[in-house]
Amino acid sequence: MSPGRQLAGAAAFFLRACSWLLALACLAAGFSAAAADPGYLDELQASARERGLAGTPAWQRLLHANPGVLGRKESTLDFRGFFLSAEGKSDPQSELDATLATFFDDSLLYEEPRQCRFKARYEWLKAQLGFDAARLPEADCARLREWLEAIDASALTLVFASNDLDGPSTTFGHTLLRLDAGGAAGDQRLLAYAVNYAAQTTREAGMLYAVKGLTGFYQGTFSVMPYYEKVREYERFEHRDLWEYPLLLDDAARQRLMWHLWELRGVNSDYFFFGENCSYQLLSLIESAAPQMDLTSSFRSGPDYTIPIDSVRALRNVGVLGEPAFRPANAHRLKHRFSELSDSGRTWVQAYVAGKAGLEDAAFIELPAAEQARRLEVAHDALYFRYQKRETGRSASLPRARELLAARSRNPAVSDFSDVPRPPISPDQGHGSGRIGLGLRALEDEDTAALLSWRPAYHDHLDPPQGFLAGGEIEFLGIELAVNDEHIRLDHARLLNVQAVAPRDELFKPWSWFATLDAVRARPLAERPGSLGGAFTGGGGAAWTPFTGSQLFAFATTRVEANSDLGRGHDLGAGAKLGLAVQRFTPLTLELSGEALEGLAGADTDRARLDATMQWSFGVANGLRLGYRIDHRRDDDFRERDTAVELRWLHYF
Amino acid sequence: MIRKTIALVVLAAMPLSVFADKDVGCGLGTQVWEGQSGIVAKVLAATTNGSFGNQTFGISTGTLGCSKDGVIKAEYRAPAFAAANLDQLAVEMATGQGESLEALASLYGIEGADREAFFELTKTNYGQIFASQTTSATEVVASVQSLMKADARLARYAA
Repeated sequence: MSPGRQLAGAAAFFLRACSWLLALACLAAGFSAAAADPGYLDELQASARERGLAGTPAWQRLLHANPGVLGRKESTLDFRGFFLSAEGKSDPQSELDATLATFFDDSLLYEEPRQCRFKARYEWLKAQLGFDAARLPEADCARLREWLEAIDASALTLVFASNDLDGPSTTFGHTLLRLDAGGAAGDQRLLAYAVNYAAQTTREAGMLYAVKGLTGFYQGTFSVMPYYEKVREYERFEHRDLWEYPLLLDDAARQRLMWHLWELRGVNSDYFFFGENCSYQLLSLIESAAPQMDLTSSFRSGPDYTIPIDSVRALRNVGVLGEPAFRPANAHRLKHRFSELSDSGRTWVQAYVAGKAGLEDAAFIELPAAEQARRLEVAHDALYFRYQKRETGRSASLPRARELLAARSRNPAVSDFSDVPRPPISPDQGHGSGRIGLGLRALEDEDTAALLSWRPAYHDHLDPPQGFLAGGEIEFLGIELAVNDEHIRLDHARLLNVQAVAPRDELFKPWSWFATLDAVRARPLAERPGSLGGAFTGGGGAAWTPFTGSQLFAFATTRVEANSDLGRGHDLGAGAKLGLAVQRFTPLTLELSGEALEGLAGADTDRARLDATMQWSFGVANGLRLGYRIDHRRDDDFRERDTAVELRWLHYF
Repeated sequence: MIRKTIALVVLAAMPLSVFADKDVGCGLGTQVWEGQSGIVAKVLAATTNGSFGNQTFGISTGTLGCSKDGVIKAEYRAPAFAAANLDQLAVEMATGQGESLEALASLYGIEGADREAFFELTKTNYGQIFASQTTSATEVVASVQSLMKADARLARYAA
């Protein structure tokens, strides 16, 4: 071959080699940009196994797989898509392996890179194992970033919505989390976002709702929504005061919480009113971000229930709650402002609401601007309240409400109402939800019996009133044993007791009601009480406040009892109940109540009962309760009257 | 008369979700005193709409379409707030103060002393803003915006 040709041949070969090399280089570069190193996955999985990461609380909490019975670690979450491994729900190790594998998968899951879909897991594993970005490139989480920026959470607040006895579903209160924005909007709580765990229900009839909620029939999920929507629901439509406790987590913990919340999008779990409810799930969420805190184990051991205020206490006890802000319900604000009006102001407002007074009345026109402003505001709120209670219609009352506001807008005065006074005791400082008692009962024939009681929840008229809604009683599954030299027996069980005592005043005229389900003996205070049966008592009526810190209530009642010791095995009666409860003289609380029932069917027994009880409380943890009881029964065949004096030491926990 | 009655009966029997807002989903068609029935309809529609596995953060009342992942889209924040808090704003604009009014001012970026001017503006022009019983949230927002544009001090905050 000639040198020229050799050169050309060499050049061509060289060029071809170069292009091959270039192509290879491009290909190689392409590989490392588009696909991670699969050998790295094995390394990471081995490293994770070696370090026992799957067994750590931090990992298990991200899966909501807390140690349960027999140490089994099963997640409480049900949504299949939350688990990457087929056994993920019950096997944290396989879930960890599958999670690491998924980070190497470029395909999108629910339209999102997998590393972003499971951001909290990704960040935790990255920190634990030290991901090498060259071998496992980090995905860009645009959607997550947008979400985080829009929320701009710089602080967290735990919100406790107190109960409203008019709404049975609010019985134990509710907790939700508020994500407060930074910057200038930081003090605008209405612009924050709320994180709420709730059951997806339709508005169904009470009993069905209760049964479904108790048995885990509903599915619960976390939702994020503007906080003003919750305020509207609670403060404005319902009569629930809000207590807003700052939740003091550091920036890193808060960021982890937000990442984990992102992971929980659309992830459902069985909702149980008592157990895995709003409060339990919120604690789980917070725990996942702060693995050094143990918040839920006390709720998982023993009977399965989480009372919302107890979840607030759990956070307070680990030192992450600040002093709460108090936001009274609109109804309470209206009551307060109404009471700040003069007598003639109150009269005028009521007359206006009833359509008997107007803005053109001489009496109104002559008033100074400031006084007019006050009356206009209260009259409007009173009308609005009536509208919300459906005591008046939109077309009937809106024109008048608009008239009031139009007049107010022309009035330059500033109304000078004071704020609703903040209760000195916040709900978390009230007495513990559980109560045990040790006592003595003396019957008229000098027989005595020791009494042992336990009540898991919640509050009655004589318990220390601080932090609770005055006048209400809610009790679940209280049992009392009576012990004497002959035997130990179940004296009675208070399965359910709800008393919604809502005092009436000039402005508000609510109804009161109560319902009680007991297991009782046929002759509760007799020497030979007879066998145990069931009794349901219920009724409706009204209540008043004779003086501050007291409630006077009157109910029409019906009572149904089934007991083998009764003539014909059952008894139906109707009558009335009257009572006075006083908390004004704290630490002393008093209750006096009487009930008379006429037999209507079955054993046809006429009954009369009188209870006079007082309690001296020592702080909110202990109390001494003394009571005198009379139980009188009469029918065609007999007439019996039993009395007893009872003294109990009560401890709240 | 009979036809009207039948029509009413048929209407009454229809599911409430049929009456859902025809607006973009921010509830911008809300009027004052829509009260419980308005909310109930939306809640029903929202909860029966809830589906799992669609990876959303649930659907909050009345904000279908103007929110994403539970968060209101930036351009709808002020109108959505106004719609959801319309009754409160009606009272507070007439009074000249209040938490909802402060929040609205914040959404418009109004700072410091200009807030007083904003409260003055809405109070003085109250009758124009809440012109009738059927004034919708959209109209309220539009009125406030045009009043701001016409005001020397607040024009810079108008969209």
